[in-house]
Amino acid sequence: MQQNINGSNIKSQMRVSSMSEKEEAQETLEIIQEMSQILNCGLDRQQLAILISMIDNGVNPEALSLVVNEMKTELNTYKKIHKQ
Amino acid sequence: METQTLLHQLVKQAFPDSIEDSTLNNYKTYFLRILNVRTGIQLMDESELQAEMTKMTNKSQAYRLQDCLNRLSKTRLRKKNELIHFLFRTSQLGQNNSYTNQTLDTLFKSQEISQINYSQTIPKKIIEESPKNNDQLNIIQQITDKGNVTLSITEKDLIKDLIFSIQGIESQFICYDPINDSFQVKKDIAISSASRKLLNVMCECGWLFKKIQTFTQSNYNSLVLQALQNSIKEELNEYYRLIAYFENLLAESTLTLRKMYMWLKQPMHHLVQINLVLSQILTNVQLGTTSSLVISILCRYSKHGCPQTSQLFSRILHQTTIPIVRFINQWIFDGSLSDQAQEFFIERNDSNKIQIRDSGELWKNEFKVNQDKIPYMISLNDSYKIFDTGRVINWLRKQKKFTQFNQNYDLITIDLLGTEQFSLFVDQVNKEYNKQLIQLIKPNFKITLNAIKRFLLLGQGEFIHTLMELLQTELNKPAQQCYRHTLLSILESAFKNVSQEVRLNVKLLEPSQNDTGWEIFCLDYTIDEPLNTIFNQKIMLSYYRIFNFLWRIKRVEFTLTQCWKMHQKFMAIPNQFQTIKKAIQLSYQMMNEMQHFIKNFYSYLMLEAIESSWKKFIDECDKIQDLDGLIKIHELFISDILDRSFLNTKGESTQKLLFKLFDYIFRFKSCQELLLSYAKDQISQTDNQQLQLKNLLNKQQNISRLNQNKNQDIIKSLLELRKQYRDQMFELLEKLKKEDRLKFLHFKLDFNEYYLGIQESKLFNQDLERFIEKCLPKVNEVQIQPNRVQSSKQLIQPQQPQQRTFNTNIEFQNEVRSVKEGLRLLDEQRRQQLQLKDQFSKSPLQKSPLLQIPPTMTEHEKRKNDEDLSSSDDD
Repeated sequence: MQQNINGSNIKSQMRVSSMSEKEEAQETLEIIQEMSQILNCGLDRQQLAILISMIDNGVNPEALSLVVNEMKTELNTYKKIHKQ
Repeated sequence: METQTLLHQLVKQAFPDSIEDSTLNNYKTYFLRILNVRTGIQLMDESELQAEMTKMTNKSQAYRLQDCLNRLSKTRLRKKNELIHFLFRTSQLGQNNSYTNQTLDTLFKSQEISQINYSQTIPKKIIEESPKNNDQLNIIQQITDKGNVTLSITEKDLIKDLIFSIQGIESQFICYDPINDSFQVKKDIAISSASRKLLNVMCECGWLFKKIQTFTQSNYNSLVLQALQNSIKEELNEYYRLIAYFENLLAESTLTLRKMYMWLKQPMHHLVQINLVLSQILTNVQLGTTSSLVISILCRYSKHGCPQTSQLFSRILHQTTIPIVRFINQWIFDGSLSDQAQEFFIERNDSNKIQIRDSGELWKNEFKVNQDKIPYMISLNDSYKIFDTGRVINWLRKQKKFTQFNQNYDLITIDLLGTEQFSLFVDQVNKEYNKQLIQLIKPNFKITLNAIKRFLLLGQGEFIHTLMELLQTELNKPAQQCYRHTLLSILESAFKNVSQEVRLNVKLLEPSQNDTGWEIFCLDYTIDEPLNTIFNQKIMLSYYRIFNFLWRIKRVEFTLTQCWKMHQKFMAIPNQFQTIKKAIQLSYQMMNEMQHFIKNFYSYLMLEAIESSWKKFIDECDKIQDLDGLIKIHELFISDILDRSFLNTKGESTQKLLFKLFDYIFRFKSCQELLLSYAKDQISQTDNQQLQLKNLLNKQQNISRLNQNKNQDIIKSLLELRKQYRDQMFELLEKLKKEDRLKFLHFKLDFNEYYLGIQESKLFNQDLERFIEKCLPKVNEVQIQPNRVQSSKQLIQPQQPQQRTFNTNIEFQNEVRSVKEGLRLLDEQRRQQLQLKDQFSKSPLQKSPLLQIPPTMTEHEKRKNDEDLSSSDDD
């Protein structure tokens, strides 16, 4: 469900109105995914989708990357705390 | 905000489900803050990307990446560069894995430095180094930071931030701390403590500024507050100018923190003062008092010791009082109120409060002064004068006689407020308008007043007399049968004797049971528009009351003259009817007594009550200058009359007495009529008797007996009436004695102390009877004494036939006995006295014509004395 929503988000943001554009969007997403894999960002599909939409909305990418980093950190600490 | 929702989703999705909402929110806000930081970005360009990629170890991956990039460039994706930048950065950060805040700050700083034209390579260096030497780096930084601002943040940056913060806007390093409610430099930033202090102090400015701005931007209904906002905004313009100057200097790089501090000192002082004032105003906001409160506070502050502050506030005050001055001008020259937020101290009264909608009430109650709202600079007197002026204008407008006089009167300016000239000016305007008003009223007023005096206060005697004569038949009917139109037509016929045209009307009051027309009749005078304010309903009511009272007395007088007329007829009775003659004499006496009373009382009313108050009133009338004063003295005049004629609540008891007296007089009249008819009967009967002598002997005796009975009844009733009348007179005289100013009336009514004597003798007689009762032995004989000792003054001793029926009351018998004995004793005393007189040739006793008994009291004492003397003589 969520994935669908995310997908539709991206589609709406890219102003897709025809099937080819839809395919285009999918393709773009795949490229980005590949790149993140290569670069070892550690982001999964869903997250990437959201992040792409955020950047499209005009968020500062530098800051966003920091946010992602911070999030990872916090997540780690949280997990550590809650494991204990 | 889409960003926020997206972030929310991201965070939610990333963290495990077991997380709490609060922590989630905390994370979210934290991330949002990071996102909101305004950092300039410099995207990676191609060369950087290449450099990046060449660093990558895995060549295959590098190829793949290149491939992806190519493909990406073909797509229609927006913000590709950003995306790419983002991905690279994320990977970099991921590789670093040094998770401390310090890193964040260093990153920030690196970003900062990158803005100032450092190349992007340097941050990478720092980043590369930091995972290893993180702690060491920290320590080094801290050591080197002390005193060396340039290492971490330049002064320029701080100043830039400061410029923002003194406008109340948050910036990079200086943020709003809600706990302390102030702008503060971020604690994490490494700057010297001296600069920190300086910065904090200057941030106060920003805080004050923010507060003032919120005030100026809020919406207020009241004009005065709006004016205040405007004036403060103007003051703040200066502040803005200063800030622009700072920015200029900053561009020239000649600005330092210290300079800023010095420059900001004075504005800060001003801001502080303004803030003080605002805080006083805002905490005291109650509807309506605000504007006067504002002006009062500003007024006080404009007299501040420090000249700059006083100038500041006098400027503000100047602006703020513009609305009030406008109101005053409008009111004084136009009489209109257009005050929506109810700030002016003159307000229109609720229409619910005005119950009687005649001009008099409207004059008093339509507008009122709200003393809470009078500003500090206008004194109470002045405010009242202003109020009066507007009232007068409104009133003149209503009478449609308002001529706006636009002379040389300038409008009131603000400088004038609070000075002496202001009071003088207001006074002048007030006088002018009042003059107009008085000119309008005076002629009509005099005429009306005179007319009222002539008719309602019975000034025009002959008219009233003729009116009474004409009306008496109508008014004798019971109240329900008196119709207004009949009375009105009679009134108009009475007018024929009066030469002028008058506006009199008949008013019928509400009849109660057993009222004849006399009680409900009242004259009414129609009052026109402008004089309605003075002769309003309440006043007219009092006039009616006085009229009623006077009319009653007049009626009594009238009745007595009718009795006198009857008496003239009595003169025609031949002398043979001695009994009737005695009755006639008795009634004549009584009539004279009553006439004496009424005449004197009426003259007292007309002279002392009405005329004297009238004279006072007329004298004051000429001096009057405004309507209020006129109303007041008129009311005084009426209350004076009411007071003296016993018509107010104080004199209620006296009034009741008077009414009872009047009642007796009426009864006397009816008694007299009886007497007259009886006399007539007697005369006619005796005529008949002579014709029918022989036949009706028996009947004659009976008739004569009956007649004599009737005569006795009449006389008895007359005596009763007289007794009651005299009792009331005593009471009245007692009352009159108590008050000083009624002494003259008292004297007039009892100038020869007749009543006093009666009273005293009455008391004496009572005492004497008791004395006699104690002294005398009981007598067995019972004799019929027709009269008591009291009636020794009586001149008539009607010959009572032996048929008088008497009670077999034991008391009566005893009384009779004691009286007889008393008489005997008196005779004895007199004889003894005469003897003593002969012996000692003392001065003859004074025998007052009226009183015989009192001397015997002293006689009694004298007898004792004489006995002593004689005993001594004997010795």
